[in-house]
This record gives sequence, C-alpha cells and structure tokens, in this order.
Amino acid sequence: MKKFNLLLLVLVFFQNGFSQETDSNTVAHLKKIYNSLEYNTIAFNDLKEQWIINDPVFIREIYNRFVVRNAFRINDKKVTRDYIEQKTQDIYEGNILIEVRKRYYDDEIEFFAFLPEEEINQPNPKFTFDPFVDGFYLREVLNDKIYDKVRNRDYYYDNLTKTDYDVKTGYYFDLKLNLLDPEIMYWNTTSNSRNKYLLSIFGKWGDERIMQPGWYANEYIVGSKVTFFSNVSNNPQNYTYSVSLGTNFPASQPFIGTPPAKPLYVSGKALYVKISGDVMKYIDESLTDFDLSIESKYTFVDNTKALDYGKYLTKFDFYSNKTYFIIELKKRNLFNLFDFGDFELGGGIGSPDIHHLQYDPASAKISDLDGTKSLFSKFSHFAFVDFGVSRTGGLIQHNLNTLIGYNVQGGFGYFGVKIKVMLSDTFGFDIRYFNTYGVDKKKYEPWRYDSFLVFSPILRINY
Amino acid sequence: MRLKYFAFCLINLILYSVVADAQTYDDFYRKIDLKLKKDSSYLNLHYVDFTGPIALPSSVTSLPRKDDEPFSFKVNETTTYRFVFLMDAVGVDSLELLYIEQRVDKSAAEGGFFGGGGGGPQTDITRDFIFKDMYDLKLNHFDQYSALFNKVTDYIKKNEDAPPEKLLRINPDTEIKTSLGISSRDNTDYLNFMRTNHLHWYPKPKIVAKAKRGAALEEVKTSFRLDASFSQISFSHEFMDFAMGGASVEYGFTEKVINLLPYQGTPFTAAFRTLINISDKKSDLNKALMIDVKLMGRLKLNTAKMMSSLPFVAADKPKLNMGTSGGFDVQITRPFSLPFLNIYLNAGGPAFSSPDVTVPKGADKEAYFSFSQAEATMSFYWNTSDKMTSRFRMDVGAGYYDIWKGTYSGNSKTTSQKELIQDNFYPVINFYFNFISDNSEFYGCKVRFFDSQASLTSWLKLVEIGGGHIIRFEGTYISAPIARKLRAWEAKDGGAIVQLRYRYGF
Repeated sequence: MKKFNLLLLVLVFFQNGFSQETDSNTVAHLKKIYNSLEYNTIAFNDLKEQWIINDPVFIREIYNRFVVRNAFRINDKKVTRDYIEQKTQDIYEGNILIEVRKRYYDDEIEFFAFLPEEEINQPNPKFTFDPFVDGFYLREVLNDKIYDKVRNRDYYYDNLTKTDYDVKTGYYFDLKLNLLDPEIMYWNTTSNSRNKYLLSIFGKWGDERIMQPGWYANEYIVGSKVTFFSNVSNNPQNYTYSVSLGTNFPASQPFIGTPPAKPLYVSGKALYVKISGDVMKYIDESLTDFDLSIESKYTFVDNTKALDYGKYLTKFDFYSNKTYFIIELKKRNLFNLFDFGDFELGGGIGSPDIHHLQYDPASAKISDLDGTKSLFSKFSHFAFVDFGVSRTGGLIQHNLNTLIGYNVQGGFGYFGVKIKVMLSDTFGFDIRYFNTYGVDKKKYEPWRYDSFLVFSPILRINY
Repeated sequence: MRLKYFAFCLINLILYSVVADAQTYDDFYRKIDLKLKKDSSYLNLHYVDFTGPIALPSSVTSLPRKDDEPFSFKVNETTTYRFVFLMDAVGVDSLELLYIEQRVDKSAAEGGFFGGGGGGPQTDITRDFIFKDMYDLKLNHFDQYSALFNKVTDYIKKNEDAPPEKLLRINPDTEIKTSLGISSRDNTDYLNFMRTNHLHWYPKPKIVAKAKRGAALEEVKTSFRLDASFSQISFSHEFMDFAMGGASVEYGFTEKVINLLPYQGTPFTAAFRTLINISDKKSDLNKALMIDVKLMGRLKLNTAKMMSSLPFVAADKPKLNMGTSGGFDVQITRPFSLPFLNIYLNAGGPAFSSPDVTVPKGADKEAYFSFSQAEATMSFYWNTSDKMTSRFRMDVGAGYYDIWKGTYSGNSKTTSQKELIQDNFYPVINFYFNFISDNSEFYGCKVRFFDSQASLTSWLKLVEIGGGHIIRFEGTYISAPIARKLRAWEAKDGGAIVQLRYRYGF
C-alpha cells in the first residue's frame, strides 16, 4: 500500500510539474502577446518624455489606489499583505518614487513603475513591484482623474527627458560661416564606400601665429581644399589629411581704428598652400591624434596698378608680407577634463618676411627700400605654443585656447586667448584677443599694433 | 502517517498553484481585452473582413465562450465578421487570432420611412468573441481555433498582393524625426522653393487620384500665370509651354547685384525666360537636370523723377546711373552632383553721355555709373523636418560690380574725364526662410549680405482666393553701409519699399 501511495504521489508530482511548466509557458506567451499589441517604439525609449514623480502626498494617493484595486504584482503574481505592509513603511518614509514615461507618438503613458530612491538612474533598477507597461490598464487602476493628473504633471516632479544634441557630420554639404576662417564643403565622393573625399571652398583672414590676426591682416586668402577621411566619422577632427590651395585678395580692415602711418599692404598676387594631417601614426601606430600642418604663402606677381593701393597719386612707402612659412604640431585629446572637454597642446614656428617698399604711380613701379638686405634677413621668426581644451558633442561645443608667442629677432612676445563657442554646433562666436609684451618701441616696426581683438559670429549648416 | 501528511501538503500546493495560474491568466485576459477595447491609436494589429455567408467547417459554426453562451456566426449579406490578429510580433512565432468583431450594416437592412441613410452611424459593431474566448478556444478547443486560424491564413495567402489592413492609427511614416531636419538629395527642395518664391512659374505636380498603393501624379494645367507687384511683373501662357519646359516674360525696375531698391537704379528690364528639363520622363522633375535661363535686356530710364512720386518707396533719390545693357541669369540644378548653381551677368558699353543723375561739383558735375554686374553663387537647401513646414535656403558666392566716375564741365553732356573708381569682387550670402503650413505658403523672408550692406525682404500672404489667386504683402529694407564709409554714389540711410504682390496660377 505504501508503495502504491508513493507511486501515486510521484505521478501527481510529475503531472503537476509538467502542468506547471505548461502553465508558465502559457503565461509567458500571454505576456508576449500583451507586450506586442502596441506599435513598437523601443528605439526611441531614451527620447520619450520621462520623469520621476517626487510629490510624496501624490505618491501616497497613487499607491493607495493600487492597494485598493489589488493591482500590485511581482513576477505577474499578486503580492502578499506582509509585503505591501513592508513597502508601505517605505512610502511613509518617502523612499519610494514613481518613474513615468510617455509614448512617442501620442500622450498616453507607456511605463509606470514604483522604485526605491536609490534605484533611480541605475542601469538595471530593481522595481518595487512589476512596472505597468499599459496606460489603459493604469487608467483603470488609478481612475481617469488621477491618470490625467499624472499625464499633465500637475505636481512636483523631476524631468528626465533626454534632449539629444550632438555633433553629427553630414557629408552632403557643410557651410561653416565664420568671417575669420569660413569653409563651404560642396561636393563629396568616395572610392570604397567607407572613405570620403570632401571638396571645399575656404577662406582665411590673417594668422595669429605670425601676429597678424584677422582684421589686422589686410588680405584675405580664398581657395579650394580637399579633405580625406579614411573612415567616415562623426567627429570632423578625425580627418586623415587635407590639402588647401588658394590665392590672396586685398581686404578692408573694419573696427581697428586709425591705421598706422606706414601700413602693411598686399603687394602682389600670392599662392597659398597648406597640408595637414594625422601623420604621426604612420611613424608609430600609438601616435594618434597628432595634427601636423605645414603652410606657406608666396607672392609671385607684384601689383603695379595704382588702384591696387587706393587713391595715392604720389610716391608712398609701405610694408608688405610677401611670404611666410608656418609649421605646427598639435596633440589632440591629451587628457580628458570631463564635461570641460579634452586638453590639447600644440606648438610651432612661423616665419614671415617683411618688405619695406615704395610705389611710384607715375612709373607704375615698386622699389624695395631695403634692397641691401638679403632675402633671408627679411624674415623674422616666431616661436609659439598653443594649448587649451576642446569639446565636441553635447549642447555646447567649445575651443578655449591660450596662445603664447615670441619674436626671436624683435625680442618681443605676445599672448592671448582664442574662444570659440558653438550652440548645438549651429550658432556661435569666435573671439580672439592678443597683447604684446617686452616691446622696445624703437625697434618695433611702425605697421605693428600693440593689441589685437578680432571676433566673428559663426553659423554652421551641415547635412 | 508522515506520507499522508506529505501528500496532503503536496495536493494543497498543487491546488494553490492552479488557482494562482488561473488568476494570472485572468489578469492577462483582462488587461489584453481592456487594451484591445480602449487603445484606438497604437494597436499594431491586422484584420480581415468576411462578409456574407462564410465557408467554415461545421465544427466552428458555433464557438464556446468562457463566460457566456456559445457564439454563432450569422449567415446573411449584411453582416461582416472582422477577424483581428497579431502578426510579425517579436517573440510570437505565428499569427495569433485575438478576437472577432461582428459588424452589421444597418443602412441596407433598415430602409426607414424616407429611405434610410439619415445621419449617424450605419454600422452596428459588437465584439462578441473577445480575446479571453479566443485564447481559451486555443487552449481547450484547438481544432476549432485551428479552423479559424486556417481561414484567416488561407485568405492572406490568396491575397498576397493586398496585405491585411491595419488597426494602427498613428502614422510613423509621416512623423519621421531626425536630429537636424532633412535636406533632399534631388530637386524637391529646389522646386518647393521656386514654386513659392520665384517670379516665374514652375511645373507643379498634383495628386489627381489616391490609389491604395501610392498616388498617380499629373501636372497641373492652367491657361496662364501672372506674378505682378509694384516693381515687376511676369507672365506666361500655356501656349508658351513646350515639350521640355516652358517660357515666360518679365518686366521690371529691379537690380539684382548692387544694393539698390527697385526704382533706385535707373534701368528698365525686359527678360525672356525659358525653363528646360532634361530627364528621361517629363513628369519626373525631381530627378531632372533643370536649366532656368533668363535672357535680359536693360534700357536706361530716368527713374529718379519717378521715385519722388511713388508713395511706396522711402529712399533717397538715386545717384547711380545704370546704362543700357544685356545679360543672362541662369540657375542649374546640381550638375555633376555639385550644389545648385546660379550665375548672373549683365554688361553694357561705357555710355557716359547724358547721364540721368548727376552730382554738382563746383561749377562742374560728376556722374557715377555701373555698366557691369555679375554674381555667382551656390545654393543649399534644408528643412527642419520631413513635414517641410520650415524651409531654408542659403546662397553663398561672390558678386561683382564696377563703378565709374564721369566729370562734366559746365552744362556739357559729354564727359571730360572718366575714371574707374571701384572694380571689386565681394562675398555674397543670401539666406531665405519660408514657412509653409498645411502645404499652403504663409510667410517668407530673405536676408542678403553684400558689400557691407544688409537687405531684408519679407512677405506675408494676405489673401488666398479659390482658383489660384494669392495676394501678398511684401517689403524690402536696405541698410546703410556697415563697418565702412558711405560712398559718393550711395544713398544715405538705406531705404525701404512696401508693395502688394499678386500671383495667379502658381
């Protein structure tokens, strides 16, 4: 008899075990159906309106509705009275908050969960009860009035809605309108669907590394630029190399007050070349984020028309920078300063020549007043260091840099700041201010200024 | 004894688990039925309708219901049975029948005294076989469920060309959001802009029939089109259309390059414009290479006297003479994948004699002339969203004009001295914004920066009358020079013009 009873129990046990497995499968299947009824917008979860209800009295009101309707579940099972009483204590102490999320395409609630305060912002929070994932059932539990109050947020809450701003580089066109260094990317192609060749028109007004910041340089360089990305990147700094070719045009100098008696003029047509790239990694693969640039301007034809110099009818003296070379090496992302950005450090040498010239409109001829000087002695050399922080992405992008330079021949130096701030990578401004130090007025060239302030608004349209 | 006690506990546990599972089932049944009943927008479900006698196995003519009498299909022509089901859901392997809705067409059955068909709903809808019944059918009467399942899947297979209808009422396809808006890769933005702003007519497709699968497009045919304001007018008629495009004419008092208001320059412009579409299909304008060419002739005209009697112009009298000249204005859509290109050139001979506007200089006079103007720009278009309610365009390029000074002794009308005083290129930026609500233009503006001056042109739609008549209020303001001195030939303090613009057939 005992054996028979034991056999019966074993049979009942296995039957029950099998039945439980079948039932749990059915429950799981029902749950899948329930969760699949809505149009799935899981890809937008982080962009949907979401918030935390902090109002302790309102939380009690909601909690009580759930208790009255016996709507709390854990793992789809009703909860025990003991557990409710235990969690009610947490409600008294204000330790339980409510996380709410709205649907993407309308105003209904799609997620509603009680959770302990310490679980907020945790990657996989432990909810106090099973979350509600259906606003219509929630409405039934809470009633229309409270449900609408939750939706309309007429109480104390913390907004967690993500507003997503980031730098995204589009390769269709890119208009960077900045008076000091504009660039218009208007054509692109690829050779293997992963890389990009971008063709741009660029402008360049002055160069602070040779102490001729925009506005104070009366020439504007305009040209064409090819930029190559070996891999398409969302960060425009991650280009592989770029080559720029351009020429110069005379530019007016707004906002700089009284010009010097013997100004710096454009004295001819020049060729401008710049090559830059992340080339150090070809020496050693670990040497990444180095930006090496070499650029030069060379004047190859002298201006001879009176109109090129303004309304002078008699002989006049002026200075001109016909040629310069600049070489700079910059290390980006040297170390991270959290939300402030990444630290970068660069340095280099800039060598402009200065010619003291005289123009005679009568003979349409330019003569060199420093004719006895050798070509090499007309060059002066600047050594400079440029460091600061750069932040890309986020709502605000910025470059905050300090530039310190020293003129070896003149025995004077200059220092200043370059501030470029962009909002959502669309609107912004560029301000640069420099001052000189150690200037010997007797030796200081008459065309040079003591301090420089240049700025420009920035508008960037990128698709 | 121990064994009996153990058996008692075990049986209790089994009974508890059965009750608990039943509660869980009921929970889900209730939630699902509630959602199916209440959610009117987000349900990603499909349905098929069977009207009239349904060919079903005899086993399913009557279906058991969990908490009610069995459900029977009615066999008549006015009753439709809607089978609602879930398909292609993540984690749900096969199609899942959810409920059956009975829809009785009352308009056919109840004629009424006046023939029926009055106001109000004409269909009685009842949901007699809910999810709870359907899922119970699947669990406990699988043969019957299977018969219904096969009925639906057979219908879907037989109608592969017409996938089952959806209950989804939100339209994610029209609410696509991107992080920065969109810029079309074809002529869409260009055509949208031109149709709203251009002085000349652009072909416009019109949806003539909404088929289930897409819409047929047909070009709008109007007999003539007119755009007229106080400063310029354009006109075209359908007889001027030709296979690859169309033509139109234009007259006006405007200047494109130099910062001058209408009438502030001194030319009268007449232009002949042709639009040429080069594409495989005439109707496929979005992919076509479009060349919009305007050939212009300008006549010297003394508008200085006219300006003082024009109440809608608030500006100083012109000081610049613009001679008789000819030129062209070309706009090309993305040749070789380049941006949209705009090239403008106007050139005339050095006609210094008998200037309309002179400036006294002691006993003598001086006159300023511009004989040549040019502008080349690239255009870029973008929208804030795919709804294209806020549309933007930016032109970036360079402009050129010359300024000559002629000196006249005493009352002489021939110059004693000529001098080229300005011969420069300047960067030019035009920024445009259009606001289009419900596909109807409402507001537009243009800001232009050229040669240290800004000009703002803005329009607002005042009236739209059926049949294609639109009246806009439009104004243009040109600023004084910024960050440079006023030149001898320039008017002080800029100026402004306000005008009404009438468009028909656009």
